[in-house]
Amino acid sequence: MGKSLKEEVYKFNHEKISIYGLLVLLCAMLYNILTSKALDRRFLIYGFDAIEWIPLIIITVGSAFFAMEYKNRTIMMMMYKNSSKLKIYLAKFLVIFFYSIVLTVAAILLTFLFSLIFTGNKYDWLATFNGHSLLSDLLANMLGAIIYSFFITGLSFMLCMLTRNNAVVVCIGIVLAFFGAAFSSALMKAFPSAVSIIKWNPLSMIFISQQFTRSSLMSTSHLLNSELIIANIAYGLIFAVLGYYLFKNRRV
Amino acid sequence: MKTILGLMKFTGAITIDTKSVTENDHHALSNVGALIEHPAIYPFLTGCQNLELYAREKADLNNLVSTLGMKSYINNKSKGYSLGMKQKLGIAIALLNHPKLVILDEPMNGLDIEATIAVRKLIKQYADQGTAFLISSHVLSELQKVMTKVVLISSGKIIVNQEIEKFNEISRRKYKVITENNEAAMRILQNNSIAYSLQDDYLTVNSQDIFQIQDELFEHQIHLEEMAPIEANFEQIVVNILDKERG
Repeated sequence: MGKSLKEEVYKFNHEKISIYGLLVLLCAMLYNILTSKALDRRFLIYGFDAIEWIPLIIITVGSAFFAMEYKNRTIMMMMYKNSSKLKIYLAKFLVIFFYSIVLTVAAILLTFLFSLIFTGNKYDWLATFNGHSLLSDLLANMLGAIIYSFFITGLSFMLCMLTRNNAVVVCIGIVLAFFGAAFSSALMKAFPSAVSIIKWNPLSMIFISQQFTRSSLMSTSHLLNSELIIANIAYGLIFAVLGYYLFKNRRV
Repeated sequence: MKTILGLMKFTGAITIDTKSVTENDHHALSNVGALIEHPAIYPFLTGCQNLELYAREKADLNNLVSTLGMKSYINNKSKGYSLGMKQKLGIAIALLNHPKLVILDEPMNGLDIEATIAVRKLIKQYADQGTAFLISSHVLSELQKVMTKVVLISSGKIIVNQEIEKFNEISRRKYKVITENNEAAMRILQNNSIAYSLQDDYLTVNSQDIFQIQDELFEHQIHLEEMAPIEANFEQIVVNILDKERG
């Protein structure tokens, strides 16, 4: 496993895709800052909306990182050089999930930097507001982003194996990131009698990135924070297992 | 070849060095190198980085780079490589870490004459050190220069699996015979029911009859001017075997 992981990290670093992902995050945060009407407290605890961009970057990078093995026809060599297909899949999964943690840490640091540049000393990160400090709320939301990234990594790999088309995976990622929550709540409003079932749909999982610091969202998601955490991890695992099954049986 | 590498579903069993290969267990392939279909190269890595990804020893890597004449471009990004450069890099990756078995599919694809000779030498060098090669190629003349065993597969069935010495015997089944009096020689062969055919100014006979022919000609005081095997073209032999197999 260590050998597979080392190889994947080597490729990931040299492909520069990690740098491009960070640059996209930086530009997206800057764009949000420059186009927003007011840089308020809520904007800060969402890392200038970095929590929305991280999953999108992960789904794009994740599927591109897997799809390039088929595009460059290196998948065959990888398969015979590795003792099992599971090690290849797991190594790639871990690299992308670890990358989501790196992106989250970068988002936290950039949030501090941009808040200093664009708001000066207006906000005290440690001052308590409604029982929470700005820092603890930011960290809670970022933790949500990391958990959601686990879900997204699993989804990205499964879709990459299912559609064999990187563009389709990215499109689904955009739909999930920007319309997932709205579509899910609309669905629950349309079928109120089935809320107890519909609330568990995968589109609801995105609520995790905001609900930790915005308890009012519970009335929309109909899920407790603990339920969201468990459901995100469970979905991430289910998608990862399904993706592995597809990967294992995909012809090379 | 893909089946041996555990890349396809298959029935039956594959064992390498007493260890079995399955679609999901490739432990037996730890000492196997391969170049299948196209060189497996990451375009965003340099040639050297592509090798480093799998190399266990730097010295082995450097040796392959210099033997295959890749020094001048090995540190360039491989996305700019020509077909021949990629092919050489693919062969180098297959030969990394002194594998016990190397599977090469059309190894001479896109190579110029110098590179072809270098690859041929490298194959012989590794083979002398104990590496077994399984090479598939449509360029039979090139294969002929390196092979020690012939495996012919037609419609998924092995129809020939022989050492090259034995296989070459097929190419010497006919002998050319010139005597001082071919007319008289033909009469002697006819009288002894020995098969022959007349081609321009010489006779063609079967190799198993050559001793009897010599004895008969000696008895009738007819001197031999020439008796030599007619070497059949390797490609022609393969085509003949395949034609025979297909009926």
